Amino acid sequence: MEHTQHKDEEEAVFVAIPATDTTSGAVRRSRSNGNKEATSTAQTHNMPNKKGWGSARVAFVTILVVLGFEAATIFYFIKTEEAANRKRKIEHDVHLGILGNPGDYETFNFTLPDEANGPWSSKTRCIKAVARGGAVLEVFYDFPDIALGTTNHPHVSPTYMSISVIPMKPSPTVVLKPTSELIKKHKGSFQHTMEADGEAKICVRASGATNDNHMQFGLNATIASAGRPTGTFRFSSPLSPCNNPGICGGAGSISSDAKKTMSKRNNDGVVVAEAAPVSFSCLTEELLLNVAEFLPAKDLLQFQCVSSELASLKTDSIWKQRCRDRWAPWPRFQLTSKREEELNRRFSSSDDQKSWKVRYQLVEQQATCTELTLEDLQNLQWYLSFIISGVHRGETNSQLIPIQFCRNNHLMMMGHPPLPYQIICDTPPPSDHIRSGLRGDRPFSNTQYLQISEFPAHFITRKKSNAEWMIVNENVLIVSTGKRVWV
Amino acid sequence: MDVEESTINLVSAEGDSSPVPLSVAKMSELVRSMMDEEAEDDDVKEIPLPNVKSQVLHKVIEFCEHHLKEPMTEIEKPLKSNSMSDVVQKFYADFVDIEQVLLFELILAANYMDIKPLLDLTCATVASMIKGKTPEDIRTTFNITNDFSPEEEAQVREENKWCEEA
Repeated sequence: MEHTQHKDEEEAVFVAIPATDTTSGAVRRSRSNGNKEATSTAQTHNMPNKKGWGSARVAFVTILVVLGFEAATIFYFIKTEEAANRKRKIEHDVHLGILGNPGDYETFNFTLPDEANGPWSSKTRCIKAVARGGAVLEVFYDFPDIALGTTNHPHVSPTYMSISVIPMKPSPTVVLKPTSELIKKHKGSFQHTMEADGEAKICVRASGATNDNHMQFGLNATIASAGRPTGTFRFSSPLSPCNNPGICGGAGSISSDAKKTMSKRNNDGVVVAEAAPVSFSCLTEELLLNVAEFLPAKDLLQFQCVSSELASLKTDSIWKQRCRDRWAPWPRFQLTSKREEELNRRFSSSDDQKSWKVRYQLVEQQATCTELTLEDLQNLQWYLSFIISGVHRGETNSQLIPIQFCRNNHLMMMGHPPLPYQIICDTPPPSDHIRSGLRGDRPFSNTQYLQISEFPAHFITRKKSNAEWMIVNENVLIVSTGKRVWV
Repeated sequence: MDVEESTINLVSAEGDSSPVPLSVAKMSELVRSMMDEEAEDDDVKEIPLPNVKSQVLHKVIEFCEHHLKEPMTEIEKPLKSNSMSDVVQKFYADFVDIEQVLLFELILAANYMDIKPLLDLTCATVASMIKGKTPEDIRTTFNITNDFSPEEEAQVREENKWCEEA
């Protein structure tokens, strides 16, 4: 990471260029068999000229100091992420640069360095600025590619822009509300007053941005001089604050040399930010996934409901592991390789259902449902065991008699005539006489029971431990087995 | 007579040098790989860690030194408890009973220095702070902004309703 001074014809410009992505250094090293990348010191870069962005391989942070107020303009592309190539994404996906004065959007044309391999996506992109409380942040935008209106055009989809403030000194009792707007025109602006000293996050999310529909966005942000915020102002790469100078103070933040440069410039009167404290927002996607790996399914769901960034984490492999863990004690659902193939076949027609999160949900609903359906009764394999004098006779599998609940509503059992059966959806009679050993690990259903011929009511329960059904009365115990696949 | 183990100096972002036994330093894959690469150069006695502050480096060294004496129990995934003392030995639970800023600094340092047990411990600690909390609680705990539009938030809630009902 290095900072160089850059002067153009009119303005002093302070430029900070992240030379490498240090926060993910460990991961990269393990992939590249230990290079010296993580310890590389800064390289000096000159600002590329307007036509020269194609060769740029880094994100730029730019600060302008113009006539007594701080202004900076950032023009960036929403580009994306490809799961298989996260490293490249971190290094190259966003390009920031000076646009000049407000209204200069059109004069710049940025080219992606690796356009052939660069997929685009609707993922939220953010830039950040640090300012004092009370400062008025004004953001001008120019979104030439968004489609407006309510036509059926495939790319007409909402684009949102939001500004939120992360205070330098978090207070558990004060929750700052972001300013959020649905963008309804190509050019415009809106303001946000900094509620506290801290970091303002300016985010754009365009649902319509895809590989087939590249969209570019121009932003120009100013801290109004009214009230003259004495604080600092800075933009950073939207990808990972920790890749950028001064945003986060820990590993991956600005080098000590750069800090000296910054403080020197401070003495010269140029406004430069102090490092904000390291916070949750400094975690890269890989680190967030490391955290997510420790979360049980329910907490993982809650975690991904927190923000759009967390919602977009690629957690499918974690969900697969949760499926494996959760289904392990359930014979019918256990994730064996055979069962995985079967699931893949079953869900091959639906992209949505291919997701392990969705599969988890479907199986969870299926396996924890305590209402026995006729479909389950007729499709699962069942075994019956007689109970004599209150003693369960079925001590071995050989004493379990296979039975079948046929679709003609008759129970078939070897050596016995067909017996009519029916699920009665009503409160069953008292079940006090059923011994505790035959009650499973959940109470009997109080909304349904099974009537077989003229025999006493059969009480229904589902075991938590293996997700199998138990149907019992004083004479027989009927259990489902894990032999059939779920439907 | 015991032969004293040779040491290497780890140099923090501020330039502070901390002498560390080789066995401790080599818990960091970053340091290990750098030492392997520099093996032919006998004069290399310093490893610069420009992205790690002194305070954080001291914590990292403290972790590594203890880990050599009492290796940390592997942390089960997913977490079974939101109390780290139920998950790892007391030393490690106490080790991460720290302010959030330092905890996140440690995560970044563990990732940068490639120290897997420390990365596991710190990430699991963050997970333990999330476990059992609602999205709103999580936002408050980590000061995260809710950037969903009202429509999107409603949609996300609807999609995940099954979990609350389970």
